[in-house]
Amino acid sequence: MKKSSLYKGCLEPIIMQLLKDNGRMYGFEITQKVKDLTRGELKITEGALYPLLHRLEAEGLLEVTMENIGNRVRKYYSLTKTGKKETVGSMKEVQSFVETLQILFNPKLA
Amino acid sequence: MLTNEQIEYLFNFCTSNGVKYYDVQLELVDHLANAVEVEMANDPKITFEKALEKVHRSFGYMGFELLVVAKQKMIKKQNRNFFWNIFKNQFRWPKMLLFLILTVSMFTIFSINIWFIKPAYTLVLVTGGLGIPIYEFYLKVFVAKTGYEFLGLNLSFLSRFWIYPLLLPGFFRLYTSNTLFNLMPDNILIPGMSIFLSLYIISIIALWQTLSSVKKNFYKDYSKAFSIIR
Repeated sequence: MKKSSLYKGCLEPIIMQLLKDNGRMYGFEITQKVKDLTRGELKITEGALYPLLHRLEAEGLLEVTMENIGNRVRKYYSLTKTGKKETVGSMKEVQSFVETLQILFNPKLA
Repeated sequence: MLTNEQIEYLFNFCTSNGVKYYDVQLELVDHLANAVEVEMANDPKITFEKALEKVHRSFGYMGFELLVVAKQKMIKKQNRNFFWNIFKNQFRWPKMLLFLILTVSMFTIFSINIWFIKPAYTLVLVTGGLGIPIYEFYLKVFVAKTGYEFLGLNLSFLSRFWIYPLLLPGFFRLYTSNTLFNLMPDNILIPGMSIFLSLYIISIIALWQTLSSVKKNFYKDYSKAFSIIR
């Protein structure tokens, strides 16, 4: 089984949690941060990241600020008020998801 | 840090790979530049072009296409939500007064003489039906002056505000016969028309505010592109 397909459904809470911890981040920074934090275990592809960021922006969970960085412009994403609330909720869901998986794969723990 | 020429190269690279919209290019160029810089730092011998090739490959077989499609969807939704929020705002106190005043005054006028509905209906729908596309066209011309194309100008949802009301049964029949007036009893027609026309006027105001906010945001976010025409 492909590792990336396992992580796929969790991408949204992962990104929202990252933004909650780091304030504002730009796309490339997010991919690097995830790679660093998971020691290369999880690599978010651009094709997955940007569509997700744009969707969350359209849903009003993220907001964008533009900044001039030398000879280019950088787009920073941060959580909106609604986004912050949503993050707490989605974290709870991820936790119960992990617990359920543990019950399924390691019945002794239950 | 990449040179100005290299950044320029990245913009052209986007264009030749199917991303012609400046608002998509802007984010993509920063991403590519960052990734290329990392590649070049990891392998000092690699050339800029080779590093870019490597980075481009990591986008998968769909390349940049996926990003454009995703953004297109998002813009549509965002502009629609943007309008909807402004529209809803019109019904907050004290802005709501305008809606009430419009409805009450139209109701009064139509009650005095029901045939006033005809010119009022025509005036409101023609103003909206012409006003929206004209403002949209102006906005497109304004943005086109920069020489860039923007995906953020996807305002296709606007057309329903001037096409749909015209499609309403009765609008054209209003002039060929008096069906509309014969069909509905006065006690429905008068309040119904007053509310409908007031709502339409309010939505035109909300649309106008939406479009000018879109314009303002373009100015703010893409100041470099707009500095040409400033």
